[in-house]
Amino acid sequence: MLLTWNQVTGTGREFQLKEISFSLEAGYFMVLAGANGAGKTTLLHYMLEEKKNYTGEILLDGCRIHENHKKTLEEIGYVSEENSFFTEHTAIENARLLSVFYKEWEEELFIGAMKEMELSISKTVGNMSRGEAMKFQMAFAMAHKPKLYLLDEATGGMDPVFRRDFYKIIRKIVESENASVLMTTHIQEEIENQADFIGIMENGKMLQFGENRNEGCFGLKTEERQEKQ
Amino acid sequence: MKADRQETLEMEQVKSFDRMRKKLDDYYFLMYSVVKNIYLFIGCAFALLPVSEGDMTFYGCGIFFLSMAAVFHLAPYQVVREKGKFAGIYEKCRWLPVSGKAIRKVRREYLFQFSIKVGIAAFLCQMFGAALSGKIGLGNVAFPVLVWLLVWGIGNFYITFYIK
Repeated sequence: MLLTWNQVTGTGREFQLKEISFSLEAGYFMVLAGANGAGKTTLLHYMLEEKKNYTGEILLDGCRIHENHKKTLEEIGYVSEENSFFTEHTAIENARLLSVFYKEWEEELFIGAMKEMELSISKTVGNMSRGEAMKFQMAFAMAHKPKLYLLDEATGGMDPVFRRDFYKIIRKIVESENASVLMTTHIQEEIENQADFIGIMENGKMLQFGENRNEGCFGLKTEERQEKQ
Repeated sequence: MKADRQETLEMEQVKSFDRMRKKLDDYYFLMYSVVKNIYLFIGCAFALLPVSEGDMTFYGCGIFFLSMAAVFHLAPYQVVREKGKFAGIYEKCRWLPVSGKAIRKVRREYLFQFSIKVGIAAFLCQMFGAALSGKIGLGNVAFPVLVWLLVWGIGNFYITFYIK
């Protein structure tokens, strides 16, 4: 199992998650859905924050994520609007600057991904549209070869063409890299047509978690699932 | 042992990040360096007056200017100005595989080196002033130590303010 949440309950003073349990295998795309304030972003933060502020355990590839936080973050690619790059520098300058923290970073991969997404590496990050910034982050994440991608409302505000392209990228990641993607979203179409697994959240609780029975979803084991159906 | 090695590696990564930023934002670093040197110059001018000759307000001013120099020495490593607003470097690195502890330690290293230099400069200024007035005492040695301690303390407060 790539990602396992086992009875995770928040301990801090702010908004808390309550008894969250789920697991995700490598090579799948999971969508977390829920209204604003349901706890979707908080759930991602529990994995990313330096300080452990929960009881229970979160395992990434069998290791407790807060036992070696640096290693965990090397294996996670985070794409979110709150991710702040150096807005007055170009994409390639940002990539070179921030790549020093990753052992597995490959600049060719980044440049290739940027080309594939039809983005210029010499464009200043501050001048990118929201969609472009998300794609840039995606390219940045792909270049350090994470096992798990966390996408926080990555497709919100994107036009349908942009969104379609974005799904192509996710599809490629899931199928060829054998990585998993965990994405939060409000968009019904994404939940129904794209995800392999769906988690529905409300007030910090996971109301439902299960496999998507729609045919349009994609994962490494899609065929296997279709055979079952 | 393994933890130590990892911490050293993280600190090296932070230093290499700083070096790259210094190249990319050379103008920004230069501006801070100019302001820092102005504060240093004024602070050292205050430190020229031997302890036995002036009053506490005077030394307070000297220490204030030297402490401000420490703040301006660290500032370009702590914050970046983008579109007219300041953003913390630690906040920018928040979701990257680097700990606040490693960033803090590297900043403290920079501060330690700087505070030692400021302490030595204050000592030389005091000795020069005291030699001119013909009165060298324990106060002339204690003053640079106090300067070093305060510069270190205020610099540390500034580091912790941005990297909690």
